Amino acid sequence: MSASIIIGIILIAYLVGLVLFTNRGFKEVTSLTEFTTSGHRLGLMFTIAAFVATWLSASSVTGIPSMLFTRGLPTVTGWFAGWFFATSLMAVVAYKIRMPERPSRTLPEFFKLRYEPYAEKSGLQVIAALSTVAAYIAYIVLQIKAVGMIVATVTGLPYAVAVFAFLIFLVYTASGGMWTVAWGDLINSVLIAIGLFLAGGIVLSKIGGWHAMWAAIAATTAPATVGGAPIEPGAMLSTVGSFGAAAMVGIFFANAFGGAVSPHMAARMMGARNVKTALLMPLYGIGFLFVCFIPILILGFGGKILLASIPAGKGSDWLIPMLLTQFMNPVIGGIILAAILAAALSTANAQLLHNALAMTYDIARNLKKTPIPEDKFMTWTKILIIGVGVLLTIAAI
Amino acid sequence: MESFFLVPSQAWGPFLLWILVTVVQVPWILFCLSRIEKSGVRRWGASGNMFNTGD
Repeated sequence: MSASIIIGIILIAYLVGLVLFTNRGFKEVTSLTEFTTSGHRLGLMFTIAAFVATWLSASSVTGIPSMLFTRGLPTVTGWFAGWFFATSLMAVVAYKIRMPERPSRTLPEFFKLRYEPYAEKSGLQVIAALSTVAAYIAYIVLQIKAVGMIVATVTGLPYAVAVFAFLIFLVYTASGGMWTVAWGDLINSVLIAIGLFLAGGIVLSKIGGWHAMWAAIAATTAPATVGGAPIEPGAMLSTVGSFGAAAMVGIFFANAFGGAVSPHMAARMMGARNVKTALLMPLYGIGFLFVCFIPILILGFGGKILLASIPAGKGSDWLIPMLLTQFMNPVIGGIILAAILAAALSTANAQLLHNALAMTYDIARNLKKTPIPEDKFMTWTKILIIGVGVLLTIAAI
Repeated sequence: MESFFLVPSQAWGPFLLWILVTVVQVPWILFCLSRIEKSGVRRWGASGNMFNTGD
């Protein structure tokens, strides 16, 4: 059996499992509050799974190893530490968001209720919604591109086919609102962890273990790209690298503040059944993520040792596809590919949902003179999820 | 000594920062929870224990 067929079977098995899980979410959606924020009744298990799966996006699973490969240890200083510090700030965000007796349904609506509670039409809510839409567009396109490139490279499918196949599942898992996203995240979080540990374990075994990895990384002089200038021995272990201390402090806090207030994370706090669940979500989730970041570190540094430099004309984003095709057997490669797909899907579907909600709930519903029936509103949002998904996929081609 | 800490001494800075910001969250979030629970504002829903947060 050829490698592409084996990988294809594994991917289909994952997608069937995802649909089965997601279907359970559709049954829960009986009102607008259930659609937007799971009726504010997500338990601890759902919120932790959603936190982990959403946090681990295509950019963290594939982009961070690429950055470790290129930049070395400053990635830990600015990105690992910055993102993990974000969860400390999330406790404050959760505390504030869950103060009202009836929590808001979106982050822009929270701003309205907090700062313009008596306004019939909130300009602040519109500004927050527009900011959300602008920020998410680039992020969703990035996720679609990453998946398209990796799936096309590993399976041999044309890039356009790969991104449109991804779109179908992206739209499907987002169209049931928060409940379908949450049910999908249950299976995605488990699969991402399995994929990361498999990939990390295999790379570690190929490079001779943990201590051999550090010795090789300390000694490497290979440039990031073939033909580039060699780097100084030990440069990969620099704390701030070529960024400089001031820029690194900026990166650290940008990641910390940005991670803490991202609307899809705030939505999970609103969806939690109570303030305690909202606060415990980042606490337990971060413990799980800390363990998951070890194989991500191994993929970056191990990849540097195995490949030394990326061929000229290709960016460091090719690291994971090259590791998958050159160093993994098809079964393991298929599972890891499914995990990357899960990481991208679980982040992008939440972002697509909140992107659509920003347009329908925070802008259209906020500015419309007459109330919109809940059924009609949810139908509009679903249509917008499809429309935005198609547009962003076309933009990614 | 180096093998005890699992990473070479040049790499301690970033790892210590990463571990510190992670570990510090445990007392910080527990402190936040205790403040909410002591406030007596039941409507915030600070109920249940650390593993089962329902009523």
